[in-house]
Amino acid sequence: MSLAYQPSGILPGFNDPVHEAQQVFRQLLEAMSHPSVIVDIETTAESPGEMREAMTALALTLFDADTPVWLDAALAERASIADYLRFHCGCPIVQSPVEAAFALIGSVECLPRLERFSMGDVQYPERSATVIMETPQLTGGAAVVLTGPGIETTRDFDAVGLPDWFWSAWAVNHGAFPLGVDTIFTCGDEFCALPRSTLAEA
Amino acid sequence: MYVAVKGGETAIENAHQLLAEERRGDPDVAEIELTQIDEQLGLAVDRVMTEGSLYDRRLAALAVKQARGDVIEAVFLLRAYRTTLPRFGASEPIDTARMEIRRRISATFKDLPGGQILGPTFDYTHRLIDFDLAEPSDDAPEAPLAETPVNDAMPRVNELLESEGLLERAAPPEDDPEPFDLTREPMSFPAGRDQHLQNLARGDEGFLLALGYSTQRGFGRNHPFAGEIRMGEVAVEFVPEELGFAVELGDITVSECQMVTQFTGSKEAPPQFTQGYGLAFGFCERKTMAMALVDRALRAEEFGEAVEYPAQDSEFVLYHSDNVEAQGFVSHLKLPHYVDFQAELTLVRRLRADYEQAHRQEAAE
Amino acid sequence: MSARKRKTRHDDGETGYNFAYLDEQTKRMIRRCILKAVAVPGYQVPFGSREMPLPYGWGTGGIQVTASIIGRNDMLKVIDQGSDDTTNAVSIRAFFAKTADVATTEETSKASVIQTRHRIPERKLRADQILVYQVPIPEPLRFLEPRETECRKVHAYSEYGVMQVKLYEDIARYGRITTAYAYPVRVDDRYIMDPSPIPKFDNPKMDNSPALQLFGAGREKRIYAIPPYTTVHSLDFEDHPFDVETWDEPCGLCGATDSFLDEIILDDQGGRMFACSDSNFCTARRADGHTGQFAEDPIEESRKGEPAHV
Repeated sequence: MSLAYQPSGILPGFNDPVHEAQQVFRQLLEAMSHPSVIVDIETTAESPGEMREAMTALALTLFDADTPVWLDAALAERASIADYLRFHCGCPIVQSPVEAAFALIGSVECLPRLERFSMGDVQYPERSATVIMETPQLTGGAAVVLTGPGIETTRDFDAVGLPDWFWSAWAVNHGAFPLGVDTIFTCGDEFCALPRSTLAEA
Repeated sequence: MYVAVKGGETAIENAHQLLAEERRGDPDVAEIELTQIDEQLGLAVDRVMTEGSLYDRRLAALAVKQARGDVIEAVFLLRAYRTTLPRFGASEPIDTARMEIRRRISATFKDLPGGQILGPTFDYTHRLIDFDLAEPSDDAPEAPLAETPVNDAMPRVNELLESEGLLERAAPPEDDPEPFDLTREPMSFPAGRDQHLQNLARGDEGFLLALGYSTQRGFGRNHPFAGEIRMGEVAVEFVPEELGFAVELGDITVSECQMVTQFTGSKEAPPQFTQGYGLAFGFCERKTMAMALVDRALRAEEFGEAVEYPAQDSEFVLYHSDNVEAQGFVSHLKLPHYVDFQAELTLVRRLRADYEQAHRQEAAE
Repeated sequence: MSARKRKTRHDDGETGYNFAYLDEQTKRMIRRCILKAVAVPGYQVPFGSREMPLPYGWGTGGIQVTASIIGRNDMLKVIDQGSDDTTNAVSIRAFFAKTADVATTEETSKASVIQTRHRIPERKLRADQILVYQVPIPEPLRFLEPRETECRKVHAYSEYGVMQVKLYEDIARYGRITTAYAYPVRVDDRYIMDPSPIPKFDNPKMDNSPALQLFGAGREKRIYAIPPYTTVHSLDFEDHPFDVETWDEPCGLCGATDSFLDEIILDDQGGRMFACSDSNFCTARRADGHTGQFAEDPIEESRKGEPAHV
């Protein structure tokens, strides 16, 4: 949604929306196909406030008028973030997590319980939310062992700062397959993904 | 000495050039102009606009020319163009009650306010080839003008019946939700009437004609009467967000058919006539009548009728009405299937070997 | 045979179309569906398929998927029936050459995106490659149950007995399963999936492939995926294990005994030969010095490059 004019106070989106969105998407596809593999992005978009580079680039790549977006308190606090998303993506900002196609979590401590997001419908499991959350670090924390599609044998995942309930909630999320949310963990200009198909064990 | 078959870019290019040459035909014959197609083959243009879902007479005429008169090919051209157009928004619903009428007939009442207006119809022509048309003539045909202008007040027949409670009210569903748009979303079932009507409006006239006809022959009969058929111009209005009020974008020609059909009532509802609806761009009367018959047939479940026949089967109708989809999949059989055929060939040979072996064994025993 | 770069005409507005034809909104919609497809392996995600300038049934699903993932740094290969130079492959390659600034290749090993109809290349794919399948009928249950509403329930509750029954009826009647292509598979032990009309010979290549596999059905408006390293099991029975086609003869051109062979009728006297359906695989083998019974005829060499149909 790049318009000719740029209202004052709104930071720029992609310089080259067509090709940057394509590149970011391919990296995301790579990440979603290889759970927990970290990719880093280069982006010309400028990030407003707590919304960092990777999260901004993912938003510009994925969101539009057809994707209701929910913001956590950390991001909702700053009006410039909603303004930025509305201007560049044209996405509706919704008040309740369950309405969202995408949720942006500025601070992973604020992550609502996963079951508060849409898990999809047993006949239409794609009608579920994708949760994108900013984490302090993508590696260096306590590790869980991942298996599932996209993983040849096993892989370790050790992001820092996830709420202590997260992995038990993830077990429920994974156990509901094909229902469930998909997650993307961002940290600055890096990100990795865990689709619902991934099993995580201590 | 085997040479691999090559599809070759050259072969394709040559085929395109041959097509262009054949499209033009004998260069000694004057090339047809878009205005000629628009003016003199206007009903072809109307059909292409309707099934192509794009109201643009000149573009539709161009598609007819490029497609060498193949209407389905022209529809495909228009659709493939339409899909690339940016979307500025949705217009206000058109109001056919405010139509500038050119044709309006009802088969349910002998006379009614506003009268019957035949308009430019084939209906009472004897289908005798007019050999005078074989040569161009300098004398343009001219129709006499009526002594009095068409009545401004042209109430719809259905509204007259509705007011008496004899006919179900044609009202939008509660809360008037945004209608389904199958140019942006895949079909989903159970399909609402909005999805049915959009699909039928884009659907192939021949397919709908056959289905509508089948209901008349008893494959889902619903006792239809042509309540009203009207054709003429309606205004298209758009509300730009920054203005907040409707601006008229221009007029389009549409045909509309409201079919009045039987309903004997159920435990919940008293006996009442029901409706089938058809709408098309331009003068596509046959299409709107067929559409209205099928629309009503597809409402069978809504009225507690058994869904037994093709025209009543929502999945069957919706998945097979679109001629762009249908022609694509039928024509794809022309593509190479060497690999699949080879796989089948290998299988049939093995099955035959199994069979022969079994028979030999049987004979030996 | 070498990779070639074509000049694009899109960015200067000459064609009037966006990069890779589709508008950005459509690409976003398709990209979101692809991500869901990867997250739920083997499940058919409905998508708002667009009318493409090629007929439905001619690869519009594959084209929409390719157009949504492809970028300027990609190297595209397009095959139909295993071959780079069948008419439809040529036409689709030309479409992307015209609408996207992308290099094309016939060499499987050089491609980053391979769009295919009815075959999986013989050469093992790598993790940095994406295989995009064109799919005519994505619903593996369609010919057992034509109704979308019914099929959806079967998938939702994994009530796949109907499929097992069909395969078992084959065995009871013919002594073997009579599906030779589009042979159904179970993905990650959950969804039964139609692998598109590839010969069942290719089915084992889908299992635990390092490459991401995406499937696009344009007319039927479905996208589905097999992520890398995912279990793909061809349906079978303990007493009737899945098997693939074999040929008594090697490829007449390169002598390969482990590739899928096309049968070629040479004359009306019953003369025939078999040749690799994967043209690039065959060419590469011949370049490496492998030959078959029909490869050495000098007439063939002299007629190379001549278009066979004009």
